[in-house]
Amino acid sequence: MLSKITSFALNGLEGIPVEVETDVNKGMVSYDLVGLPDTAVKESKERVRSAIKNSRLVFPVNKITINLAPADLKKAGSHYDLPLAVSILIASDQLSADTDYVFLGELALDGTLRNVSGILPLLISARDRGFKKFIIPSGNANEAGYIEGVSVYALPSLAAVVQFLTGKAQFEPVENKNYNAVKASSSYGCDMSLVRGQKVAKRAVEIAVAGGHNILLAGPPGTGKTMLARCLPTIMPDLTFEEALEVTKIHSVGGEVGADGIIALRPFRTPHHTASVVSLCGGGNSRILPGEISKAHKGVLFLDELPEYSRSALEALRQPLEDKVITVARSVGAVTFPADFILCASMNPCPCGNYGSENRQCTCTPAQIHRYRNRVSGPLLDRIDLQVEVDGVSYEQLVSDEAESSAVVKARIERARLIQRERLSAEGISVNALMSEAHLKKYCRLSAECEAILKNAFETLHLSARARSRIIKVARTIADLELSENIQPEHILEATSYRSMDLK
Amino acid sequence: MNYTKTEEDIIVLSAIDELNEKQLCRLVCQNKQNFLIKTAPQGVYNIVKGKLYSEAFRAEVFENLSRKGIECVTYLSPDYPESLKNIDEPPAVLYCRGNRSLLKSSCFSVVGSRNCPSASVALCKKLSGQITQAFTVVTGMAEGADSAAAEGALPSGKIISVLANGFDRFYPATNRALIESVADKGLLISEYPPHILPLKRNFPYRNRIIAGLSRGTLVVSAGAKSGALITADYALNYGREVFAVPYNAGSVSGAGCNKLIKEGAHLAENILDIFEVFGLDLNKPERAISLTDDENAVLEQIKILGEAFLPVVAKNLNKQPYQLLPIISSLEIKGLIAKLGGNRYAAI
Repeated sequence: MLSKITSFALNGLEGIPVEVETDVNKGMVSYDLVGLPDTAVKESKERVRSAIKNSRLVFPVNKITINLAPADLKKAGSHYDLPLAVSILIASDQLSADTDYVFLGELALDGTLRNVSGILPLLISARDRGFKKFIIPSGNANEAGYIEGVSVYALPSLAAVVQFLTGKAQFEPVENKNYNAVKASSSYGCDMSLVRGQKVAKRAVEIAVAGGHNILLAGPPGTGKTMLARCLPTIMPDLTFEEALEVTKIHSVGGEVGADGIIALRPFRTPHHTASVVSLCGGGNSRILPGEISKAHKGVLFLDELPEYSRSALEALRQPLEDKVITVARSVGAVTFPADFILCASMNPCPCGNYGSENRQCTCTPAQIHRYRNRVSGPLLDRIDLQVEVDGVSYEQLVSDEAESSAVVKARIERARLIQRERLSAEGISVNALMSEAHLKKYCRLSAECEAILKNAFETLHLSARARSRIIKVARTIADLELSENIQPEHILEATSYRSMDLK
Repeated sequence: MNYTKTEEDIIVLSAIDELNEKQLCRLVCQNKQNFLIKTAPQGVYNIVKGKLYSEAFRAEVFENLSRKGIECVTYLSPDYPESLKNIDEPPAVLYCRGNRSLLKSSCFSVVGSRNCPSASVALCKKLSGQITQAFTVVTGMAEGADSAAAEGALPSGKIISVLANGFDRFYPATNRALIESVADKGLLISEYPPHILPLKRNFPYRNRIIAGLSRGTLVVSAGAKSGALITADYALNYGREVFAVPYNAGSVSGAGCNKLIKEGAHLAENILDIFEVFGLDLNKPERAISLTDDENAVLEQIKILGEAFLPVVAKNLNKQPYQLLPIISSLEIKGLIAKLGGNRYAAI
């Protein structure tokens, strides 16, 4: 007899329906699986056989042929175990044929259901295609609770699935969860108030987040660059539910969603400087997985010791920094992942780290420093609007120092972001950092006084031509933070001071 | 360019690798034509003689020079600067690229160490620019102080850079653009034929030309063992004026300068200190720069603190450090302070 049930394949962040067709017929005893399965799917044959037997069900001793349609789409992942098992049971008359559930889940040999990755994007795409009822492993229930308009049953084992489908046992669908409660209970574990001193760098960080600018922190080792970077997510506006779902989708593909089932905190990703292009941008053979830049979506990508990263890895960041998405093309197809993040990079001023330090002597030759700084290419620096030096002096030298908490800073930033949204919504962008030259002409008109200052600055400070639009964008954000309608001379001057890498 | 027969001989001799610059100097400048025969090994003498009278070698030398646009001023040429003739071992040939007439002008050298503090770099640039009001600035081409001196003097075109290698090589490579613009607007000279590499020993020896060309030498920054001290030594031996910029007690990058002052060099804080020694006056008074009250207050603080750490300045003025950023930028644009790195600033 023939059975046909539905499961889903994951292509990037998109679920594609897969028909699992099983034919159990008389003939030589055999057990075949066709339809471009990858290794994990091929091996599921054996798991399914054991799981069925160990769930006190009968594995048919006949000629079994299973087809995964569409036949030209490569099937990867372990979540085909459950649909395979159910479809064999239907084909061998142990379950009734009329089922409109979508099945997703991996089986253990004893028949229990194991968690699978990518549940959230699969469920969302399935819902958007009109599927309403799902059976998934109970371990994935936490993620499923945030999707409205579907009934998802999270079951512990194959035996439970059979009992449920035959009506011998009752299970309740997964309850809807409240995002706000999760959001309220989660915290970043660090706060701006814990970073002492570094007032200039803190101000720069505030401007960076307010305008969505990328930021480079340069300074001697041990001055709190990393600590400051970790505070970036704490002053970003909270993730809305839609954003959180988007972020969770990406992390779900890699199976990185925690017990809450949703990621309510802005991601903060710190790939090590040995990271390859693929690990940063995404890739893979049979199944294209998101890279670090996509996992940093809506959050912060922190590159510590920027010049130590391989040139190719850094250059690969240029296009996603501009487009806010990355399209990964492989022989199996092309997948587009979102990659809308703030890049925060840190570096030492020179190879030994003491250049410009007050109490330590730099031992590097000028040529060494030149080489070190040249490892970060001009086009990449172009996309980093704020380049700020962190203080090379210890906090002890400053006596009293009360620091603002992240919440206070965040309130200012939310206000500045609102102003930007109102101004730029017609252009389809939300923050100043994304403004093009045309937008600058339209929205950042400079008074004659500001123009004169810029002109002077270029002559005396030998700024590169590309620094100009960078300075204006940052000045616009400063003006927004100060609730100023127009860019004032002091905004231009302050923006001019965040350019440490423009010095030779 | 036309050379006399003797000049041609000198140029050819200088292009012979077997003959070093000291031997050349004895042959050409000290009239000891016989010393080669007396002292050099037979082999060397024969090689030199062979090359000197080889038409092919001579043609190659001059063809090479004219192709690269290099002109030579020999010891016997009327263009050869008088000031150089008075030193111990004058260079027999000066290979030149650029404006040769600068050799006849009154020169002043500005030198310093390579790892020159940012504030001194800015000061060096400023002073060097002002010095061109009366002198042609002579310097090397190393990073740090030398480059800053060249950059400061470049707009006026009154700049001579003395290289320690031939013109085929741009050294240091990071200064390629600067070397080209000095050749373009000012003058690039070297006592070495084009193919000579920047050998380590060339540099201290080259410094005698910098000191010898100049009526005075200003040392902008020098560690205890800086090469700039060698230049100052030469200048002293040649009876020229030596100036040094003063540094804080215990400063590593200024130890050499302070030592010079201790030994009797003129202390040079600003351009007037230099011009006074030569009985000169600023013919262009410094442009009066108008400052706001805030700018004045910040500048005052930076001057008091010496090396001012921005948060400290802010604290003294009861302000947040970031509130000072516009003022700092403005002062920087007006050329009154320089960035030292690590949010520290100094007045210049």
